[in-house]
Amino acid sequence: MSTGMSAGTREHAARPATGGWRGNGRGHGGVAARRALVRWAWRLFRRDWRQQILTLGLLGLAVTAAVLSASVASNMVPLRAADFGTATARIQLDGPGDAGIAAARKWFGTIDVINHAAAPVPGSIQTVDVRAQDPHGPYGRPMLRLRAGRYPARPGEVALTDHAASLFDTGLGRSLVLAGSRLTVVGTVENPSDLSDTFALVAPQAHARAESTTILVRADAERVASFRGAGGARPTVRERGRTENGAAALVAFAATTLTLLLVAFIAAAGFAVVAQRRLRQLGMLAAIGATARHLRLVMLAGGALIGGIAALIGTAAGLAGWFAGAPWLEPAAGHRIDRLAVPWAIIGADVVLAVATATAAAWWPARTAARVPIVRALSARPPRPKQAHRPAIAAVLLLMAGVGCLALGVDTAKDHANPPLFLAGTIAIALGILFAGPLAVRVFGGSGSRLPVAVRLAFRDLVRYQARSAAALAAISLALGMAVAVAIIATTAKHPAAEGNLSDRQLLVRIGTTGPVVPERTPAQVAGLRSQVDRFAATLPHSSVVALYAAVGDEDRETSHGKAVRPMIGLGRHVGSNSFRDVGMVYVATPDLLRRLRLTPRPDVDVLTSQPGPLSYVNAARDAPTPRTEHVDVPRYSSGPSTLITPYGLRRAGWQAAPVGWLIEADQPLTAAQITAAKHMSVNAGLTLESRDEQRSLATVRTVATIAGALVALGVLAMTVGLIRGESARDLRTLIATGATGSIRRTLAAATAGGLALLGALLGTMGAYLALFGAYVRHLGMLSHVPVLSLVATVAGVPLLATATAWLLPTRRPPALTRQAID
Amino acid sequence: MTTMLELRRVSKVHGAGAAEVHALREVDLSVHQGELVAVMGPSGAGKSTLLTIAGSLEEPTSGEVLVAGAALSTMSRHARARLRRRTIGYVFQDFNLLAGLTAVENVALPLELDGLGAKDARAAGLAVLERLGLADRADRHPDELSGGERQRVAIARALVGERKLLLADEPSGALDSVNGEAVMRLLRAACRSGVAGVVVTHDSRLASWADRVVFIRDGRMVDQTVAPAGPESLLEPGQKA
Repeated sequence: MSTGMSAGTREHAARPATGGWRGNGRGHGGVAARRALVRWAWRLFRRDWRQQILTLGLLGLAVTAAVLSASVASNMVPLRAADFGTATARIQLDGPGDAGIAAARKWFGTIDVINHAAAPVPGSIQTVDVRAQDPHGPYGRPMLRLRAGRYPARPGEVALTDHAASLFDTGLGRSLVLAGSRLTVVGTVENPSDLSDTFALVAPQAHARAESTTILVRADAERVASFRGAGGARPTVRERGRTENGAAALVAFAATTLTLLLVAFIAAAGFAVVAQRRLRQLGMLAAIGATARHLRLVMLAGGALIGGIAALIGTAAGLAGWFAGAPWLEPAAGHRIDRLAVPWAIIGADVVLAVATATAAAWWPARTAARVPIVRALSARPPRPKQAHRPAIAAVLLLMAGVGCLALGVDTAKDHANPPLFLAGTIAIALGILFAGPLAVRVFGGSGSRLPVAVRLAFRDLVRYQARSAAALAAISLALGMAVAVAIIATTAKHPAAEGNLSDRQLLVRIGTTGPVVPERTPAQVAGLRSQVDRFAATLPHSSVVALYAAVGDEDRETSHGKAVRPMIGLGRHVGSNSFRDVGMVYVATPDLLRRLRLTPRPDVDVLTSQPGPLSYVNAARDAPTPRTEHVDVPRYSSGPSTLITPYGLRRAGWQAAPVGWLIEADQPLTAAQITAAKHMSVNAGLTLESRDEQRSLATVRTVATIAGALVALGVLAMTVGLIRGESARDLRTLIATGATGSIRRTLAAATAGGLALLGALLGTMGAYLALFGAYVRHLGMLSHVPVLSLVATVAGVPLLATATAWLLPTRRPPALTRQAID
Repeated sequence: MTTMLELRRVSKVHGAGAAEVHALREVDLSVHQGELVAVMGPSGAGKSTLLTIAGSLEEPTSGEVLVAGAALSTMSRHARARLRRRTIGYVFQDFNLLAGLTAVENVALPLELDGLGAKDARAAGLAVLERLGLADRADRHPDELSGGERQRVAIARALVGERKLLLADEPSGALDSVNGEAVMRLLRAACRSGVAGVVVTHDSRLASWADRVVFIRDGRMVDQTVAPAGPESLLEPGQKA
């Protein structure tokens, strides 16, 4: 039995017969003792906070990222208020809908009516939605915001959105001709929940020739469903549905939790170093009667303090970043953002999580420090290195369990992950790396027998001071492992030349936007657009143009931003019991397209596709038959014609072909200038252009991840190398006394830093590949895409940088060489 | 007279096999209430080991240690920690004051750890510091005190709460001769008030303050003598306990 600083469980000893204060009956000193220890922990933090700056910084950064990502995620989701205001449902009627309005008023009581008519933009095929809406209507108020001037109040007045004003080349105080009527612009308006909403606002009931009418109502789903319009017909009704911003913020929170868990491992290494630094003081505390629980409390309070301060700083920084950056996000979000509309509950949860994470990270070092025998602690000697075989066995088991969890929990084919299994797998692999540290240090330490004495000594000291070096190694491995994993994932996400959205020789010119809807155009309008596309294509050498059609339901019509659109029929693959992942754009197999792709479908086939596996129709208003598919060997571009519905398929499902755009294909990769010219043509014609996505952001992700991992690793090294070298100050003195040159200290520090960095890089890379092996086990071929530059930077660059930095900036002369500092 | 510390055939072995070192070999020692015992011997003789075992900081390989009649071997670690808070005061050569706490907070710490409120603990700490002539240094941090003052603070911490056993390991080792004698005077005074004391020292002049001197060599107790009348007897004849 050793006299450690830890408390046993036996409580059978008689209380010693001593005079004076008899102490707290429970034996741990109760609140008074805890208060004294927390006070001391706070003082220690105030003295030593610089030594914990890395842990503090990492936790603070994680909290900042968490607050920012939760705020951004919850505010980037499209707002239901854009179409519904505060209503729960909108009823769509054709024409002015007077009878329907009367029926709705009778059925629902309070309603809000918005009339629509499309007005052509002079010199363009585009139209603008002329909207007659009461700005102070009971439900539609959040759909309007006056930015300048006033709302139109009488016939002959109009308020325009910025885009509408630019289309008509007019502005506040000027006039315009709208659908044959001259109107004065009295205000500038916007839909604050949808900044892309382009419309001209006129006074309520100002135009009698409404093409469609929207009625906003507030009622439960059952009442809305039972509403019948004029003549008992069921009108088109859209329910508001549930808002998704909470779900988006929750996803951000889940990502935060995972990040904080990984940061916790690095923090644990930092706390292990702190525990070693404080070992002597903890020994003193134990010598005057502190129990193991007291000792643990000091460390845990330190962890909680760091977590709390990091949470405060991180939250403040995150909120400051949010308040400063929110206006810049509005164009991307497509709506006005209320700065205070952040998910406060999730931010609160992030703060609690940060404190809990830091406290939990301090627990193991606290437990270890509390178990060090008092006399050993008083001499500030670290605990003897433990046998490495047990942690090694644990490491192997954890790594196997982690790979298994990820293999079971991640399905890359369906792009689907089981969160608990994914989390368990990631944590198991992180823990596996942690437990692999002692064995790796030992193997590494024993490998330098033929190296110069300073390097040999440095490597052996890593083994001697295994508690510190293994903790640092775990932190470095995790930081670099995460960076390598991100780099590999980014590399696997890079499309090969034969995949992606389009080939680099193709341009897709779409009528309307990129949503799964087809705007309604007259044949004359389509012919006009085609001629502009043809004119552009003629500027490209050896190019061709193929008209693309989408399948649409005969009676499926919707209104989007006041314009009539028809939902496109798509094809999807089951990824859940009731969810699909679409296979990209689906076009109608016109003779022109079939000729171009050199395809001849069998007469009884509905769908020709290059996608594997069974597919189902999606986005159809009514039940669609299960498609009979035929696999064809065509390039698998997601926006290109890789999945086609045959005329037979159209007939069988009762659908029609509607023009959706044109595919321009050149015989050479398109230049940037050609793509820019195509963009200009598209903008002028009111079309949308799509070219090959070069995924440049993936390279940025790889670079940022590699640099971030390297910085964290170097930070951990800066925190620990000096400590490890300080331990062996006596050896250094002996070396100098026996004639070693002055550069020996540099060599020792450089070899320690370089050795730890190399070992960390190797372990981290191994961990990353093991994790990804599990995740990609069904598609191991994806791991053949190796991020060579990132790996070289991690495995060679970081150790070299660490070695060079430690050589150039040697650790301070250890105090033990001169005098003993007061703890 | 009550025996406050009793070591019965205590042995301590460090390491194993070829690296085995016998720090103590079957040492017997009794220290009574009010008695000050000095332990002398060459370096590596086992003096400090004897003290750490007596102070429950370390456990013997064999033998029995009794403090205030209670056998340490029957106590849980928790109970031993409580013993160090309430009964045993330990003074280290290098003071071992917690740098983050002021002098009075260092002194009051064992009481606070034992559950006494901060205000009461501070009052008790101040009282002891005042007895030791350090009341005006109560709110200074250790790095603002001289070596002698630090050791007096350490002694105050060892005395606070009416301890019964005072163990001092080379308490004057880091001090000059004047401060060293002052420290011994304090220890002597503490013992006069009823505390049993054990002091490890190299210095025979300081050992002469003790009632009894125990010699240790190679882990064995080789001799024990009643110390000749020390300097204190010259100053205060007939006052020595």
